[in-house]
Amino acid sequence: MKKKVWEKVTAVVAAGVLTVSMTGCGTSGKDERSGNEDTITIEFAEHVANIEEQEPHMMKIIEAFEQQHPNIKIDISGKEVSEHNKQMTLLADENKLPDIFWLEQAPAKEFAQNGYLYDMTEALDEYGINESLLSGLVNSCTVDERDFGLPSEVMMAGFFYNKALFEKAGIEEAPETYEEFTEAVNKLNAAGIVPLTVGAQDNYSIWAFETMLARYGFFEKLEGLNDGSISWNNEDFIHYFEKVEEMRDNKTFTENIANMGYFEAKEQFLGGQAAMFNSGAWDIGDFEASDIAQDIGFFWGPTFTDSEYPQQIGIKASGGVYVVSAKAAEDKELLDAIMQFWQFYYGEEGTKIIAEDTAALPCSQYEGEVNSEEHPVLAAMIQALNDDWEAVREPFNSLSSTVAYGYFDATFGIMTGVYTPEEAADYVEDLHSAER
Amino acid sequence: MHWVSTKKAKAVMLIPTLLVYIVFIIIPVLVAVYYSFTDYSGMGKAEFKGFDNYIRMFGDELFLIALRNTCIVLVCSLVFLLVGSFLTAMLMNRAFRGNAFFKMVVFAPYIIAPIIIGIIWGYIMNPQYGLINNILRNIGLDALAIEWIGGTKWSPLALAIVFTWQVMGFHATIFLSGIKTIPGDIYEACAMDGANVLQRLFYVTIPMLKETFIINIVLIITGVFKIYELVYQMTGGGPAHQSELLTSYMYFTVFSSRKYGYGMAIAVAILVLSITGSFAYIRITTKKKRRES
Amino acid sequence: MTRKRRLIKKVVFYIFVAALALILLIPIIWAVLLSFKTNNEIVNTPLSFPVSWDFENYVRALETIDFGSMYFNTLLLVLVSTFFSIVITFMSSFAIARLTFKKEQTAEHIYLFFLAGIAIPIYVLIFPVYRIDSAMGILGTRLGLIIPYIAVNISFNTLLFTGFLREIPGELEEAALIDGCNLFKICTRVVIPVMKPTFVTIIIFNAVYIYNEFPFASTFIQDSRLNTVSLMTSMFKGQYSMDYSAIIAASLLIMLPELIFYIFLQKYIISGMTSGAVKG
Repeated sequence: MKKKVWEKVTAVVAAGVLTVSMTGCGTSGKDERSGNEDTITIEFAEHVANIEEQEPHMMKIIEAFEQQHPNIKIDISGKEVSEHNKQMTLLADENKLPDIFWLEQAPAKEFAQNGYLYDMTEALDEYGINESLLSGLVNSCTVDERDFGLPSEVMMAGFFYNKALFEKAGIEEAPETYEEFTEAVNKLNAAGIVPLTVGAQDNYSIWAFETMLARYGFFEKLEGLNDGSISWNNEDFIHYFEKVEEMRDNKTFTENIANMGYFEAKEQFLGGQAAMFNSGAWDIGDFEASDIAQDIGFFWGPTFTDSEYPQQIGIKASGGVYVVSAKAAEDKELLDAIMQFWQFYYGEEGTKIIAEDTAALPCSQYEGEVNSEEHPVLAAMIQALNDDWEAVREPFNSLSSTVAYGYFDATFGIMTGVYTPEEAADYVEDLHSAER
Repeated sequence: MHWVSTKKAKAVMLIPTLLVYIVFIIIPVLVAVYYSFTDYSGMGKAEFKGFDNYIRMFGDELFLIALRNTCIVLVCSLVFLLVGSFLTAMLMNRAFRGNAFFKMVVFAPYIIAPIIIGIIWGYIMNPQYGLINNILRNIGLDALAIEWIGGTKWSPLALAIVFTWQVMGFHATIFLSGIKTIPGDIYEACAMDGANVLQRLFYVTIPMLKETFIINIVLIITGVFKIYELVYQMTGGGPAHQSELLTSYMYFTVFSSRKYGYGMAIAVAILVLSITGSFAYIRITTKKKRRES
Repeated sequence: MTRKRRLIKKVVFYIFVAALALILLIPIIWAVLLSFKTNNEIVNTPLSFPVSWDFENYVRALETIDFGSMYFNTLLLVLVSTFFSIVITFMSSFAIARLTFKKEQTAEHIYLFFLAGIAIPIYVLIFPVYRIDSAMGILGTRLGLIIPYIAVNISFNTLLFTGFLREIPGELEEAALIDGCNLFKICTRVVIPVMKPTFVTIIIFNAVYIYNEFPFASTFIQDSRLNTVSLMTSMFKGQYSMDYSAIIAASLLIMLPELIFYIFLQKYIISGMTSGAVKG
């Protein structure tokens, strides 16, 4: 667990009045060549199909980069995330991977172990990329302490709540402990308001529940889980699953939970039909574009008294990562062009584009300030990012895909009434033991 | 036709199809069978594991659930489709104003992309904001407003209903073409004997359509084993894989769990079940051929 | 009395037929209704009519998707694949049904060999065909999709073609033979002209299948410039967002050309299927 790794941001980004002080557009390419005689093309595969709409900052960064480096061309293409994942696996085995691409952390590690990825440990220092990254996002994806990935987003997850609905139900403050949380749920139910909307049909939308698992000692037990000395069916994890069951019995979730996708759940929350929503930093843009933007608050999810592990923790880590294929790294010129691109992306200019064009948290240090009137949710998130709760990673990224999705299914299985806590724990244990 | 049946002519006529069919259908199936005996994960080395994957299947609760669901969808679809498409074909066979339009409407769902059908029906079957349950609640039939999708019970039924809607026109058309081959004088003879509508149906029409029934049954069986997009769009296999069918479970195993070897073992199981079902058809066509010659 | 009874019977019959047609049409009507709602309305006020009947979702769909290039890509695949699959399966079916083999059983065995493909779920093929495409160097090209599309239609086409060809009376060909026609001329001048409905039926089935095909297209198309219409939904899906009202609008726009194509050709379907083996 890392403590105080976010100091750098704390120092730089303070919620206040908008006074963006940008140091002038600096770094011009160090070996900028004129003419297009030997243009280097970098193939880049992204995890959204409609890059212009879904990742406008990426297009803008590429445009700005190409302007500065007329001899480098970036050929970006994208597919919807599940199609993208499938495609990368297929291409890896054909040895036809694109030069740079996005991956979830678990497959990225698997790719690295199979020798498909470029070990960028030295290059990250050489090109000064580690210096620009937020300190919590350095070493985002490592295998045997070697770096294989660069952070694509700040993964910060918890519960968002609608302050107006909380007020209507007579709740004054965002809950912190599980008891306060239960009380809030009861008040909301009494007021006829759906307390928490979760999209159980998309099992990946589990985030805040991962934090709860971490509060029951997930990271402390991880080694034991992997070598088999600790079973998923242990007292603490059973407590975790029991809490989920209690939440269900206490009518915490939407009645229609099993048929809600994550996107529908978001729509329900934004439409003022549910008081809380399980999500993360990536939704800041959608929240701020909604009618209830000014009413949205954030908290890290309930803490528990029946666990002996640290409770004041929150997921503040890297999500999916950008990687470089081993094949591309064989070509020194191409590799240099690639690293220059990442240098630009995480450098001042790239960061500026991310921070200013999308109300998103950049993965690198940003020398600007945020207007809390204009960006209320972003400001709330920055505040949470800088609070003194300890940063943890997403449990998802420490497990294999099979076990991770098994754990998701187990949790959602309880929410939808398919599993009892014991069954849920055994289900994950079976999957994990098959891998040991 | 014996004169033109030279070796060269036969080769020219047959080889293109055989080549494409063998390279792009038969060899891939064999490759899939090969991988079903390994622990291949989609990348890296594949280790030979013998029958491990197949043995594992029978201890895998989720596989058994998918198998059970597929059987439910199969039985429901057979009942709905055989009755529904047969009756629809009888209607289509009658002369009435609007017959052409009716035929067009009946067949139309068959040409819509399954993925779009899944999207649309998701909004119809959704227990909370779907069309069906809201109508049922509005007319006071709350008891019938069941959890069509998303529960652990009714999803296979919901899938069978949507599948029926999708392919009924196709099967009705096959029935209609069968009905049209029944000689009219047989009915006349029946009428002379004083047979009523039901008697005509059970003693003449249905027995005469025996082979048409069998073909429809075979196509329904193979069709059910191919349903994927509907599950993907309507329930995503959830909650917790309780509404998975064999195909969607295989897809999950291969692409989400990244267990390619095990996924292919499931695929082979699907293939075996489907081919067993199709055997009926193969036997009947062979018999027919023999009878003719 | 009997006249009255007949009238009642007729009315009941029409009500029944109309109800059936309506039930079949409701999903499409419902989709049209949804296409005018916002995402928020779809989830939060399911039963009410759209607040405003504007074409905003359609505008967004048209802005997001390059329909021109998607239709073009799809049509190209449909035309080329359908053409070749029909040519080669007609030839092989003709050989199976009309040519004589040394062993009588041979033709039947080839026929059954082709038919077995009906039972193969497409998802079994994806990974291996990907490998084969790659080995042939056509991965990611249009050809890399066209050949598998031809392959997966072989079984169904064989079923229909062979069934019809077996029923053509031999005298027609014999006469042509005596007139000195060769095999090619027999096919093009004698046999094909009497099979028009069968051809149209097979064209419809093949074309519709390829137009709607999703699993192959989503795996094999790597260059988004080659995207087909069935990949449209992913254009409205981000990692953390989805625009379903635009997806519904786009779905309807995609169905439209298909429905028009179908309305013009549907009258052939029944006669095409009547003449084929499908009836049994």
